[in-house]
Amino acid sequence: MKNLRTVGLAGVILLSLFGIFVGGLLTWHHDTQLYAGAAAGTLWGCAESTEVNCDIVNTSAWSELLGIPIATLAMAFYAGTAVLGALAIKRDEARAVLIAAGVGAVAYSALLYGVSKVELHYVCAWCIRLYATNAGLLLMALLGGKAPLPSGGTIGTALAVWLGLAVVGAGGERMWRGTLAGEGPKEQVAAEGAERTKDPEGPAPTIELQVTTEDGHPATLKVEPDDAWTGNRDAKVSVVMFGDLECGFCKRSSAELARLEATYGDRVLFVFKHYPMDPACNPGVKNRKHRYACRASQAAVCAQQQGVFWAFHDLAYKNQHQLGDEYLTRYAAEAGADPEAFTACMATPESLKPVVEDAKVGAALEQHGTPRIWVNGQLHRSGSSAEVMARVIELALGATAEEAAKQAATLRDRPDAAPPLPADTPATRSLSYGHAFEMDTFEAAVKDGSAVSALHEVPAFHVSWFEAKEACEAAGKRMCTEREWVSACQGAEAQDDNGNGEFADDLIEGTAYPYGDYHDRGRCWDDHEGEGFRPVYTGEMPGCASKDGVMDLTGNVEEWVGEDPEHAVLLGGAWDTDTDHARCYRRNASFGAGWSGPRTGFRCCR
Amino acid sequence: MWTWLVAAAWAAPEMIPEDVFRAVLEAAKPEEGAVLDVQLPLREGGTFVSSDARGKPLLLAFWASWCGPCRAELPALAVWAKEHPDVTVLAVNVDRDRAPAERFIKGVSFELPTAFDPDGHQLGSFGVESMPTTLLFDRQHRLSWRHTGYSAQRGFTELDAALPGAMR
Repeated sequence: MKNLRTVGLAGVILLSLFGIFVGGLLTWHHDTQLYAGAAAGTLWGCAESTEVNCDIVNTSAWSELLGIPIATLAMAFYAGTAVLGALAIKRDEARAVLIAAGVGAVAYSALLYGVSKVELHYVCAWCIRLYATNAGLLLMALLGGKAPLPSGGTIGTALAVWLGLAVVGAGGERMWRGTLAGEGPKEQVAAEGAERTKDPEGPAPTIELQVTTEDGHPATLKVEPDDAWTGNRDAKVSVVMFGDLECGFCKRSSAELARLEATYGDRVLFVFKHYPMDPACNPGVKNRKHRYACRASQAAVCAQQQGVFWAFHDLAYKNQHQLGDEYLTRYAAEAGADPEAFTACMATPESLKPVVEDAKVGAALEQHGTPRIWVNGQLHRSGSSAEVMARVIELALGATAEEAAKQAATLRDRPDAAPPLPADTPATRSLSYGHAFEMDTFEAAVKDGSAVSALHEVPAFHVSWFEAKEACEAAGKRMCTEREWVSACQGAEAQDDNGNGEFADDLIEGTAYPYGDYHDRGRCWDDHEGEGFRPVYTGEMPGCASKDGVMDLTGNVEEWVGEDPEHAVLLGGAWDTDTDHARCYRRNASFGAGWSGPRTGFRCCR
Repeated sequence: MWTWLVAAAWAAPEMIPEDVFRAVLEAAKPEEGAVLDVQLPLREGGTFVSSDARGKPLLLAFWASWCGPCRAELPALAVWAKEHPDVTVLAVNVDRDRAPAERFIKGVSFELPTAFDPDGHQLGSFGVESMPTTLLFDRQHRLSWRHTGYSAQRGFTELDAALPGAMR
């Protein structure tokens, strides 16, 4: 047992040294990202993906505690565990303190992981390694078996050592940060993306940037006169996005770039290049991932010929649920293009050539997906927020690191958590979209066969349209129509553009989600696939409110609508509807009105 | 530290209790040992009355025109049905409209009696969520076996294995 204890303590010391190293690395990354005078430090060992982004996690508001980087505090913690590990070889009671510290560190890891996943929507690979280190520390400390209870003196000494190390670490970090800091900037108000109508006059400038490809090879990124551009044509800073109009992550990134353009449009050149994920028009991809992508890009080229590329681009992304030819024509007309000229352009293979040319450029950059955004030649992927890219832009524009960080922070788009709904939240909302009607604020619960709209109830599920109708009528109400439901969700009167009697398959007149145009995971109860997930109580997601205060229209349970069985359809998606698909225009008409499943619920109207 | 704890508490929305969730799913399942009793309109005219077919195992193959695997499954099932005359096999279309179902039947040739469940009542009562789903009932028309999906590679090996149970 004694040998095992010694091995365990050696493990504690080794893991602590690894922890000190990682803490130092993350402190360096945090400070150079936020406060460095040169370009922000790039962290190795943390490849960006849709799940992983160390930049976002390690520069978020959660990465500091009382103004001290938590990575710095981690260094102090691991220095303390290393000392304790050495002491415990002679004094076993020190191991008891190590065990307690290990338990605390594991619990804190779980908390941080939860915050990363739910609040920040990304995890940091190095943080995960530290969580594993913490678990390892606890296991190693436990190897020696039961440890004697430590005396008050031992506990006090350990705490004093940790506190001292934290003070020394924080002081050192602050001194080092001081060598990086510049002067404070003027405050700047964050801008939102504005509605774009006409493209700027003239061709794009010719630019050649020496870059490093996604696979690490030197290459040239070219901007050419026929590229779609906006912003300042003569700017020395450029942002080039390779996008696919059918790609959900591109949609999100396009919104981030629109926000950047609203702030930096006078100082930065923004360029869009096509990179459709379909080998039919892109030699850089092997498999067809998006069936409409080539045609949508071709349509964007045709819109560009008429000077409405950006208006078309915005409409196509917003209405990404419908990219068939008939819809592309409609978006082009809505954007201001002449329909006849547009249709003629779409009929010529010539209009696909610029798309193929763009794709060749992207392929030469060894891009493995979309979006790929080159901010002054530095590659960013889908995880990069406007804030992260703004920092690179600010630095390229000549700001000091501290200025860049502060200016970029104004683009941070994480709103404060919505407060819980008050208990006296009205059970119904009076709406007027085409006609006046009342809609239940909450998804229906069923009590004694009657539909109930109230806060913190179990929403009804496994309900057929017929059962829903019966419950609404028992409450003196009726089923909502598809038109009413879509209008309430998007906050604008829904139009049946194609005259097929359906409303969730047309041009979006309002917003794509009850709270805005872009999916914000955590607002509504969606994108939670897996055995452990099920519906939440009504009104549990205070951020999932329409502009009229109707709750949970998207996510949680799918909602039956329709005035009769023929028009019965499920809208809005459920808790496990994946990625960003639980939207106002999510329409499930697979089965008839008599069908029910774990996700089928409803709400009533009057 | 408290801000972290508050944030974590906020970040974990309260799901409905698992036992409540499971209870609703259980209640939605057909009663154990319940005897099938349905009437479905037949494509060929008339009505399929399940009680008339008791005494022989019954296979209900639910399909939809938008279901890709159904295109392979139904012709293969027609062959299987010919090899098993002691089993009543009924293809049940669940499309909401008749027209796409008719187009499917024209394009995918299969010789099976076909019924319609346009309102999806039968689907809901058996908890069917995806296509194709096959339900096998024993001689007394109690549910004996169910299967979702179709693999041309595996064919009906699982059905063959389940059949003796339904023949009893």
